[in-house]
Amino acid sequence: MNDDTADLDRLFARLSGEGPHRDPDEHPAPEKLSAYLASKLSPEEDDVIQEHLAHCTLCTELLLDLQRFLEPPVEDLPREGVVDFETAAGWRELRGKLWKDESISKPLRSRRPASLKSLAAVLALAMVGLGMYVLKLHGDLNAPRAGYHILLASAQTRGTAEPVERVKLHEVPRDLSLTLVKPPEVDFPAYVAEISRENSAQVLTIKGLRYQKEEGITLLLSKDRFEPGIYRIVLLGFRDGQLRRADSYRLSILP
Amino acid sequence: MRSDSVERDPILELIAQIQAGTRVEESSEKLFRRFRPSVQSFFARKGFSTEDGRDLTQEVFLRVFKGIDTFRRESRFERWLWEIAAHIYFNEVRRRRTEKRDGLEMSLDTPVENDDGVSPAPGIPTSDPSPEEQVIKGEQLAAFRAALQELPDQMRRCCLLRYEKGLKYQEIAIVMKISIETVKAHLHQARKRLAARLEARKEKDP
Repeated sequence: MNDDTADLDRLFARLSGEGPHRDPDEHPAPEKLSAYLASKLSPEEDDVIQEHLAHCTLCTELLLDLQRFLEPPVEDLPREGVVDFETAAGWRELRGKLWKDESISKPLRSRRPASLKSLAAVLALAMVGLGMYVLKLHGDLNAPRAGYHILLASAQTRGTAEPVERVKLHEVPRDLSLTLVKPPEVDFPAYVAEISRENSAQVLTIKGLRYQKEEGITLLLSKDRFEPGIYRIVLLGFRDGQLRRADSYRLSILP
Repeated sequence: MRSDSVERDPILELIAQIQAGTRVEESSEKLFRRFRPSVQSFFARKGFSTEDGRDLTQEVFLRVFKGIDTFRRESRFERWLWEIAAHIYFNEVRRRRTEKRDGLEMSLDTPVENDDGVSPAPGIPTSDPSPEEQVIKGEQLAAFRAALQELPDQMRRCCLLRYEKGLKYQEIAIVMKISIETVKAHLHQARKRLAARLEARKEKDP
């Protein structure tokens, strides 16, 4: 039996050394390989794929790659707490391409109602009007105190741009108090506000907000963090573990 | 093997936000940071240089974010990401093959004409097999292959993956969607059957 084993090993070695083992010219589409691994094919299709895999190094390796995507080893995961400069540089490059490239935003735009363009026009007009008002107001304030902010804001809800009264700003000691009023039919047990400055990727998320009847949602904003500029606030409603968009607001904070 | 559980999958939640148009940039960046190492290492395993791998990885994510609206959150994002990476890999392999075909090709068997006349073709160094090896290659190997063909399909495929492709038990189990124990049992049985065939052949034709 030892001789037979030695013979077998020699023959298997010849089998693997006989080559090169040329892969088949045709390969199943990646979607098909993925469906095979997910056991979503018929037994007949499964059999065809298995036979192909037995002869195709390329597809066998691809299938093992898919398994590695599904259950990544530690080395394929981002390292917590370690600054990955290469990834950061990669993101900057990709971000530039994505946001310069119009096609990325088209699908997002197309999902929105057709009235969005008109809303944008109305909003633009409102902003121009508000801008003129700001200039007038700014001119009226001859010597504003240090740290004093003038806020102009608008809310956009369901295709209409609404004026200043939906957002209120008060100066309180060391902070600014911002009150957001939501549309009455929008009702969630809790809210999350996401505040981002125009042309900046940074988003400040304020969680655990509650709506107070007759008042609205009040946020305290640190004057140190809210420099003059244009800000966008997205109000998200939280229910059953899901976040849904409730309203959005636009703020212009002037020095 | 992990199932395609889509409930409370934080990755799918990120995608839902992108598709809904909220926190698009933040969620996109999170996805990129989470999956970039997997995609980069995929191309490295395929033998691409670091630079080429980086470019192809960017191409994958560009395609991911451009087409993210078409992703239906019914299965795991990782599958979709891999499918895109695999398509880009196939395309790149095809492109390189075409480039190679379009380049100047020279047969190694054909004599090359030079300024001085005809020179011998550059040859491939060969090592002639020993007579014993020739016999094995010519007859025994053919019989061995025939014996392999007679094995049940799954057993034969396990043999090919193990001995021809050099896969590990664990890898064969993934590719064949069977347990490691079944792989081992198939290989054990296959060796027994093939050894018996070789023995019978020896007795018949010593």
